[in-house]
Amino acid sequence: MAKVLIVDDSRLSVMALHNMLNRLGHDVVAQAFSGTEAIKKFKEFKPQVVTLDFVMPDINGVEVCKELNQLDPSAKIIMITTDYFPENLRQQIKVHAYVQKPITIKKLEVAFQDIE
Amino acid sequence: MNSGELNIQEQYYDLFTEEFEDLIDQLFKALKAVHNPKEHEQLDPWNVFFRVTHTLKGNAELMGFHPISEVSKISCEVYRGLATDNNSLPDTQLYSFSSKLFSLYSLFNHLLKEHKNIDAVSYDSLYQEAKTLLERRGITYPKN
Repeated sequence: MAKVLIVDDSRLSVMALHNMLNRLGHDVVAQAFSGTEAIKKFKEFKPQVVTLDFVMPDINGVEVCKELNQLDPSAKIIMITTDYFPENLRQQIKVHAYVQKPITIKKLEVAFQDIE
Repeated sequence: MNSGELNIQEQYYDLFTEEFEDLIDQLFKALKAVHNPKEHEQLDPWNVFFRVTHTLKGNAELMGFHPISEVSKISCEVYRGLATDNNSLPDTQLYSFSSKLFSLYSLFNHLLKEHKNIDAVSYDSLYQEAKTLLERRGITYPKN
């Protein structure tokens, strides 16, 4: 069981992720709806895993990821993407697994297995 | 697929329509900002359209709302990279397309809130217009 921070600007995505992660036995310690809030909650809750959306209203997922990588290099990042995530961006950040939308419990389960 | 995934539409229907309405409201504000230079600079309306279509393609796909997901996927490509690419499009063309997209989303949301089927809604002309705009930017859709 991992302590997880969910970062996504969509309430629907956050709720769906929250329910799926709970069903997989993980502990969702916090949720953030923007990049700025994500960094704040990350410092406050010190999660082991962050599910991070790529597109957000203030700071994009790549910039947030860079910040989280610096704050705690041991934290695992699962990037939630759509069908498009350019290689040049992938090379700029340390991401441990990618989950392509639409999110399913199976995809999440595989991602958590990959990061163990 | 397990039972938890089977009833996703049932579980999140109200949340989807509620959030859809908020997103449409963001698009309305972005459209209004297009012709106001100060608001245009502050709000970055085409980036708002990019974010909203990006959110909707994921959410609609999760919910199994195929027409919304298809329209959002191609529209998201229209708005992607507009700020950074050299081959951008004039605001007039984007405004015309975006107004139609706004109307179509409003129709989808109205039907969903009435618990009516959205599969019969025709979105072919908007889809073709999006393809044309992408071609003008030198982008082939769908990507190989």
